[in-house]
Amino acid sequence: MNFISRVIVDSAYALEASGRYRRTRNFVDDLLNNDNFWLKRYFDLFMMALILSSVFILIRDVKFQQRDFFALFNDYIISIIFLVEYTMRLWVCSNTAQIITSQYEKDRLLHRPFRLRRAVAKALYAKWKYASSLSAIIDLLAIMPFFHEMRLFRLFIVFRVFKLFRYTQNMQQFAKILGTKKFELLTLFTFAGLILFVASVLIYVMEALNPESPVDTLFDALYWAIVTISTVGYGDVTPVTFEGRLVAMAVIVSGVAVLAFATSIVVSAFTENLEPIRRNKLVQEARSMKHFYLICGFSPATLVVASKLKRMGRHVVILEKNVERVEEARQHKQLVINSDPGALETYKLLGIDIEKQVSAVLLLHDSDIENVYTALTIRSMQKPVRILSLLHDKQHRRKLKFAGADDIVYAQEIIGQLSREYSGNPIAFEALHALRAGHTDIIMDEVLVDDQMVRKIRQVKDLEIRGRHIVLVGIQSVRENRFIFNPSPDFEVNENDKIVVIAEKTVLKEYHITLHR
Amino acid sequence: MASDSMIIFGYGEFAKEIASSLRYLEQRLVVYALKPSCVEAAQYDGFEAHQVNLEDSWEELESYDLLQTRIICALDDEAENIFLTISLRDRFPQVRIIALATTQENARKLTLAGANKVVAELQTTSNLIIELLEKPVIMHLMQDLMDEQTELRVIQITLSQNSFIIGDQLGDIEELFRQHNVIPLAVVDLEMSESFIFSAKGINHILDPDDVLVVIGYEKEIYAFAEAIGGEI
Repeated sequence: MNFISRVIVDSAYALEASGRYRRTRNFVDDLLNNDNFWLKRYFDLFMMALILSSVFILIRDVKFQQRDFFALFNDYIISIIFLVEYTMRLWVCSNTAQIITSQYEKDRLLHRPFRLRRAVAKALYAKWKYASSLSAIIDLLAIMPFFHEMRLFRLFIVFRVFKLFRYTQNMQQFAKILGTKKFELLTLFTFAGLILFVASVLIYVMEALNPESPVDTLFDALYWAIVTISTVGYGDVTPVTFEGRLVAMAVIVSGVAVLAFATSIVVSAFTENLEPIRRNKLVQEARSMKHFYLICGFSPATLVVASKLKRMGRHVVILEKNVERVEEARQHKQLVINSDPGALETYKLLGIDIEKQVSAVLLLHDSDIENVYTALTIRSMQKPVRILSLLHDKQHRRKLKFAGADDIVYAQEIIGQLSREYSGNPIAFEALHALRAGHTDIIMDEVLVDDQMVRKIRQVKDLEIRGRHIVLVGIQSVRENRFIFNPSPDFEVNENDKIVVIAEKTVLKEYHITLHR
Repeated sequence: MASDSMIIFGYGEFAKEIASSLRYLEQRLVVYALKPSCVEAAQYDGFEAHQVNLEDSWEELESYDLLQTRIICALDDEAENIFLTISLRDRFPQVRIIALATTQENARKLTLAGANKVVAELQTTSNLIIELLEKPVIMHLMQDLMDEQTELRVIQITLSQNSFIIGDQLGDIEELFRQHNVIPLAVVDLEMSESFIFSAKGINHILDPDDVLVVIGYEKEIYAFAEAIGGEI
């Protein structure tokens, strides 16, 4: 191995090994390409502002040409920023050091001399592949106004506007959706191009020699053909001969067809892709939530639970695979993502951190089979998350438990229990359940003793419950690890204890504020 | 005939669970089902069961002391359940009817049909789920209160004519509650209406004879309290 190869391989290894280099690279990569990175949003907004100001300066320049700060800003500062961005993108698009080292290792493994040229060619090819992509070319052209001395380069400001595509997700989505109709669009363009070609040649042949006709050159003919086929029809260039008008009629008829075809392609592309677009948007929304309940399956129970949780100010995300049910859920204004809760793929696609973001997973599907399956799917991710499940058939309880459900709610059992209470102490339990269900203004609620409250409150009497129209039922004491009913005034209160009180909603709200003052 | 009986209509999943949770109460328990297969199933499980027809004139029920009997309507089909509730209410205006419904909508219909108490399945289940998630301490407390084994109970006390607290305001006897270590939850003034006056709000309520006082506390202390104020449990 010669000296140059040695140096290159060594430095490639050094770069690979450097933690700082890797961190910087990852940061730049996140900033430019990772939609979930918090800074990217601001970076995108900043770039968009630059582009818009650039366009503004161009417009101003048309009539008031001056060489002041704005012009300098436009020509140099923005261009340099774009240049830096372009270089960074080129840098992170492929990992040169890795390409070189892997080539080196491969050659060594096969007992071949290291082929530097091949490694460099591979690295360059990776860069070239990126540089020749449409978005990279637009980026490069957007830097061009840098050479402001050349008047034509001013035109490249337009490419800065194209650059906007990069920073707005909606635009990217738009391009992506049209991309799904590549074949149809290609057909359309071929069809329209063919008609334009034939029409402009024909009109040229028919009219160019006629002194009364405004069609003189092939460019005039093409201009007329485009204006006509698009059904715009300015009327500044019109055929005057009989043959020319025949051509015009044919072009007008086919123009309607082209337009209809084009519209239908775009519309169908959007209607077909409406669901993915919507899903994407909802997924983004879910990702941005700090804490939420994930409900798997949309059933009548889901609706009731979700609306109650929402009323309590909690966020809820519903996963449902059945399209009809998704529609139904949407009509009830729920955040529902059309995806199979029993597939691991769904959670990958969601890109949420189940451990941190999801307060609990609720399996509220109508069938026990689905619930068991989903519970297993979630448990297979090996994330410590609480799973609560509905049970419909008593004999499946053990299966559900085995699949990893922490809490199991069996409606029949609850109802059975309720009816027993009604038969014994009907009024007592009705009072209790009225409080529980929250149908009245009076509710039973838990108040968590947080670090702020604990500074002032040491004992039950510090809670100052008396004379407030609040009934203190008891305390869940962390220290004693049990519920203390009707604690005495000198009972010790600690952080994270929970106080159970009965009071009117508004009174409770105010009490909450007083406690935190 | 036993004076205090319990009649369950239907023997579906819910009715089964209700019947089995009521099995060990002292009352006489009778199951009426529409389908012979359900009747058989109930008899197999050890209950007294009979078959009925919805178009019946319900003469059979007249043998019960209808002032003391409670009826639970738990037919699987909601429309049938509503029809049953209406017919029973029409025939026996006095009897206490508890009906099961799945949704809140049907619960409202059943109330209109004349049920004294409607248990809405979805509502109850979702309340429980939310309690499990958001109010675990209350959830535990409730379970303790319902469980007959634990000492903490919620019990209703009917005030008698000669109770010394009659004429007092609820807020005045705070000290009395404290002495006996019981917490008043609510008062039901049966004369005025059946709705609850919760102690957190209605401290100005003046206690009348036959008011029902709902209290939480340890069983022994509640009994002592009831005796002290001259109430009946």
